[in-house]
Amino acid sequence: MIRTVDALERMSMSELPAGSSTFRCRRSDEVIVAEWEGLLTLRATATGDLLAFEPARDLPRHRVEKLRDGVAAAFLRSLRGSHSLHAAAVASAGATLICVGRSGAGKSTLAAGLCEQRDVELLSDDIAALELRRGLWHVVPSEASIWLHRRRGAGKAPVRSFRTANRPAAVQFVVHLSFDDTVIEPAVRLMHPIDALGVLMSAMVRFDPGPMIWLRELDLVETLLRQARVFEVVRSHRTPPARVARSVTAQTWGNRR
Amino acid sequence: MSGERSVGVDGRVRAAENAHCRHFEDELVLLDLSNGQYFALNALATQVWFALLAGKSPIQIATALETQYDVEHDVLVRDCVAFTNDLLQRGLVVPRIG
Repeated sequence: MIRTVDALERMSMSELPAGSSTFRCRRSDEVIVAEWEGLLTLRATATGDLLAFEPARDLPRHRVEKLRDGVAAAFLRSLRGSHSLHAAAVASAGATLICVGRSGAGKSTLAAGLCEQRDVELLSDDIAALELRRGLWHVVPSEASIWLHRRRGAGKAPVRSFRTANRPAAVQFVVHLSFDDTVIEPAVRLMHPIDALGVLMSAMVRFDPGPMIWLRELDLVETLLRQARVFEVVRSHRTPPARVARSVTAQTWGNRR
Repeated sequence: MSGERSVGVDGRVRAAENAHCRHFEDELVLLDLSNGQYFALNALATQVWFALLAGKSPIQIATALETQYDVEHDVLVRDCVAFTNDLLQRGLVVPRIG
């Protein structure tokens, strides 16, 4: 009669460009110092004003940009009491579709596939910035490129050929991605609300979790689930990404167009 | 956690201070504020949860549920005791004293 929905975990850093990284946060006088070991040190006020952004010296420019637009921006937002999802997000005609799932589930790949379609624009690749506007949760454009594996086993690199959104869009759809190599056709089905809640809670980006944060997140997810439909997308590793994107479109924006 | 404690058919419990519950459609989400774990209770478990919080014992709850479900009394009692002890071991309820 009772089952675990999910256990909260500090955000996984495994998708950062340089691989796993230990995150530490401390307060020094009135300054918050956040460190992603070997990657980045960030200094900010307690209210989220940036004081210093210090990436590791040997990081290439595109990796610095990803840190700046991704985890660093999310950290500053968290100091201001705003929330982010570990998710890729795209928008079409003012409606956002968020892709969530474990690392390697194909969030960026689906976002890229969707951005190949007419009228679809990129909002975020890795970290979606949430903002409440007129009672609806919106995703604010935060990242301008999608990082994809160029070949199997190789690290991710940025792909910049997508249209990027220039304004926030209200969240209308969420898709949770997973693989099952026994399925032939991609399956896109509505999730049970409790499962959807677990999926979204797992995707919340957390830097300093605690009771107040968890309660706020619960409020956020509850509101988000009232405005958005959450789908489970299961497909095989063999399914071409463009086919998955078409199946997702058919069940989401396709139903509306 | 209170892993070593358990209640019997007449045991009574109350919600732990760290347990926060929220209705979600016809189910209930329990948030453990001590560690951030979430639990989902289905409609039947939600009914038992609120009966426990109202001070009913597992056997009293099972007896009340008998009229609603086509399940043998002994099975209901066993399920209600198991569920109560599950909550107890997860630290979501504590024994009611007195």
